Amino acid sequence: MEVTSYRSETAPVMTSVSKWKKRIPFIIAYGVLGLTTLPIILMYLWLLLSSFSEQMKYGFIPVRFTLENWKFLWTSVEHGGSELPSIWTATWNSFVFSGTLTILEVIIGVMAGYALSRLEFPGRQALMKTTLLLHAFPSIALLIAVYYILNFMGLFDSLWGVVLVKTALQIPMTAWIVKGFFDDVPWDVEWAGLIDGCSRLKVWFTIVLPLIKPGIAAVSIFSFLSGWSEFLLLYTFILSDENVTLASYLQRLISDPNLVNYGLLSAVSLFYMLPVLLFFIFTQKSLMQVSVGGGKRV
Amino acid sequence: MGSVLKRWKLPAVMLGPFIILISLFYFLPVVLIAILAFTSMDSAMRWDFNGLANFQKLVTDPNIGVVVKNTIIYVGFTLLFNVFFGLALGILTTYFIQKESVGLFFRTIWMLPRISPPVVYTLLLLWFFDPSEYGVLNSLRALFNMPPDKWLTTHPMTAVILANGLIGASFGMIIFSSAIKSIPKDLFYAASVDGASQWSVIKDIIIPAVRWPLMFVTLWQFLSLLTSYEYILLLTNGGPLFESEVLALYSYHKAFQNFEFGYGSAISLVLVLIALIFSALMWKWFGMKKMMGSSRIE
Amino acid sequence: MRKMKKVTASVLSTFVLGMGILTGCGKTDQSAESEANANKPKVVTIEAQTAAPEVTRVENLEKAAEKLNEELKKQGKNIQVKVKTNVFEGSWEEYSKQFMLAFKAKKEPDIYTTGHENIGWLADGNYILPLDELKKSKEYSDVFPVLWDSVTYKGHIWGALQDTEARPVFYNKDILRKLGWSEEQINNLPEKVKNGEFTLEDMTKLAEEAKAKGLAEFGIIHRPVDGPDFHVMVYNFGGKLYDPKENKIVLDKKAVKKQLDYYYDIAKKDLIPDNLTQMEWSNIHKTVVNGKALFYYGGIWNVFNWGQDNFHEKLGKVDEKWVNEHFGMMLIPAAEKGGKGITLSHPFVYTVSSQTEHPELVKRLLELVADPALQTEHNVKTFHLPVTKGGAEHPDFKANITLGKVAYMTEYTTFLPNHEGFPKYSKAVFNAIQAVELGKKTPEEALKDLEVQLKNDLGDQLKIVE
Repeated sequence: MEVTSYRSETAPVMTSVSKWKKRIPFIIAYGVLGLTTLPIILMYLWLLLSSFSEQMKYGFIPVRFTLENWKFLWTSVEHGGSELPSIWTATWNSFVFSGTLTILEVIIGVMAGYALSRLEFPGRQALMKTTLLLHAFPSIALLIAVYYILNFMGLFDSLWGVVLVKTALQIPMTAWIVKGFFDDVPWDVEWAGLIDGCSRLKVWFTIVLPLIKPGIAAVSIFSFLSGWSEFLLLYTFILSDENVTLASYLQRLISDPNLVNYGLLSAVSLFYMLPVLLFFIFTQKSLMQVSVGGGKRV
Repeated sequence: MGSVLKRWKLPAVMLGPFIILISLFYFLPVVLIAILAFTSMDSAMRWDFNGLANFQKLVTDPNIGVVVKNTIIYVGFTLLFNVFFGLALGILTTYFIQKESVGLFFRTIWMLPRISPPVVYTLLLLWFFDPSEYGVLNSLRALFNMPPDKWLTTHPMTAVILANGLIGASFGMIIFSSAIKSIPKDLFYAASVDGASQWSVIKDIIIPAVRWPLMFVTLWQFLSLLTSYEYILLLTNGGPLFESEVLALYSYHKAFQNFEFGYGSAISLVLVLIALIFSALMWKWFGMKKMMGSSRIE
Repeated sequence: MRKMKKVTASVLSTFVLGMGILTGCGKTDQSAESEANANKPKVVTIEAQTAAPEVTRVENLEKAAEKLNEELKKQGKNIQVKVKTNVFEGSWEEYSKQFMLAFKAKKEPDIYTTGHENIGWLADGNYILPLDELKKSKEYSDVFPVLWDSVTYKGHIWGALQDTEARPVFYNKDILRKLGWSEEQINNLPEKVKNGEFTLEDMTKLAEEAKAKGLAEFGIIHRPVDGPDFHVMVYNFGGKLYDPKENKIVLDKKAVKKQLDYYYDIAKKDLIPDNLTQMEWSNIHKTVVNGKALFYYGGIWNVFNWGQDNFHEKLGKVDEKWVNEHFGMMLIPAAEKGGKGITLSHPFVYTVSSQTEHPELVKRLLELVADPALQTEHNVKTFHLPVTKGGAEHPDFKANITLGKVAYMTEYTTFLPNHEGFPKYSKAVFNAIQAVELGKKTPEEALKDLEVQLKNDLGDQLKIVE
């Protein structure tokens, strides 16, 4: 009796200890994650708070709620003596820029990715190596040369010119990711279509493309986001006010260090980030798929 | 002849735009840079050839030693940070946090710096590190009666590495977490039935599964880090003195701040060569050939 | 390999074709709309660009165009001038870079407003036209003669003077009051500086005293980034920056050593914030406006800046009157007793693109814009000084409490050289100053490194004076 009671009492104790022991790694995991993530949350929170307050006490405590900083949405705003271009022109331009970039990127990327994955042609190996190596090119260090080329094409100070440059800079990576998705489509699928007597192109459109939809989605999102964030190229190759984009608009606000208005700056920054955030939250799943391109093929 | 044409038609159509773009905006600029590197082009923008003068200047440049050292430190440490932190985040958010929604939440937060436009992200960091008592870190120090520290002066490299690290880590995170997700669940189950420790689960199941993505991330990020400078430009602009100046940024500064386009191009050219040599070496070490396999048709 | 060559060849031909098409579409909008409307005046558009925030520089051109149009009408010419303005926001290097790139793409403005020191590279690169006729024109006849030096390069005049400014040392009156200075003493300080009775050394000592007594957190503040203010010290220590005969930048080692010693000294005595060259401009303003520093090497336009943003912790934006109650403005004290106070000006100039299609109209426009009334409008609004005596006599200018007090500084002023290599010199010297202030180098080491750096950067554009 005694023995059993002893045992029955100790058994739960043992399991609870081991349970605790088992949990420790998880607790540490949460702790580490929480601690490292906190500063990021705080930084973005600051952005939000400072856009709605008149002043930040000690740099981070908001004082007095105001909508003043958001005025740029409905009226034209004066900054440093000159009137800023309308935010909606900038938004529209950014949208056109990122949209065109995405479309070009997807079409060219899918075509090239398919060729790299499925077609046999001379120089295929070399082209693939090159594609990966292109990433190593200090493309940004080549700005001056790119200027000469754009100028020669008559595309300096034109959004289309920058779209072309940006597409080119990203296309190796896009093609590479898309290639990964094509690699994962079983050859039998395409083969079956061909045997049924469809033309290759038709097979491509009706059977293969739908299969790599997640890949296309991921690539589109990446292109759009990077187009939306682009700064250096637009800043260097665009002059006119009518071609202003959100990144340049923001740059204008910080350009004169004598006149940085943190409230306005954070409001515009937030406005600038809003589409990115929404886009990102709603397309999380597709975005995470990208890894397949680099990750799955062991 | 006809059959040759037929064989070539599809790849040519599919790869045409891709090849045009990369020729225009990668190869042609490199050719131009290679020519420019032998000119004394300055603010007058004249193509006056001056032989090897730029390269002689490069060798005798009193700053070049520091800049090269910085580049090595910057690339090395950021890479370490990226890969390890990325892996840690991947494991933490997918393995330790089984609840998909919680993992997703953390991953989303970590993606914020990456998807934020560079201008916004560096703005947040600048405000974070601001050396006056109004900066965030210094406001916190003030609460404990500590004098403000000049973060970007005392630890410019650390700040730059952290800034790039936060962004790079999320790249690793996505790739690793999806690789971990694709590990069959029964493996983990079997391990827990066997009573394996968390450490051995990581060591024996997770690490081997992410071996390939690990290589991919390392190579990819190495090349990006070597040639990118946008965040350093915006954060410390290479300063104080030359303490956070890296080679790519040095080339940019020489070309676009000192308007020594010829000399800047010479530095870019050296950078291109270094990048190519290193990628060729890494290629050999990591056996990248596996990655490209032959196409599966024709 | 052979196959690869084939590929390359086909690729090359495709993109050559492609480029042909693209360039073709780029240039279609030129010929049309030149005829038609014989009676209606022909509208000539002149583009003018300036950098923010002083937009009055181009707005004045718009107003001058109205006068020009009246003139043209009187002369019976069937031409109307329209000025299209563009305001750049960004760093000065970006501003120069943009002009270079735009010029080569033939998209540059006809009138490019810039600091006088850019004349060197603009002239050397054939970007701009010489404007020697301006000196003879009626409108520019009463320019302060010293100012012509700032636009002269290789024997020609390259720019129409637009404005100049004072870079006074601001001193905090409240702190001096707490040090026991009488109102009279405080208000007489500028005079004593002007006459060389109050020297640079006195200034340092006073800063030390204020700091030791805990009345000021910092004794001295200067600009946090590279800029003209630093080089005035070379002049102050009796040195030179430029040799016009040989057209070379001068590294005057004795003077530069003294210059570095000065910054080393004030850093060592803890008079400046030890992170000064890393501070944000806005925090510099906050520190000064909130009375934490005794002396500030500033610019007269800072009065304008302080009214634009909430720098004061309690008052937010502060107006001119407030600034004058709490701050005085003086020249930079002479390095030696019995010397004279000194300052440096950085006149702004209109330059004319060498690709402009209407050089005569543009030149006439630049003459008309020198009108004292227009100058005054700009000067009063943005706190700058006039370039002509007529501008200085204008009643609105004289009535201004801030400007009236510093107008005399134009007589004590110096300029940066117009040489195209000067920005490189400036950057290198700034780096040296930064190094000594941060305690990373001694002035001797910094000077040695500076010499090596300049030899490398400037090559035969440099002349070293021992």
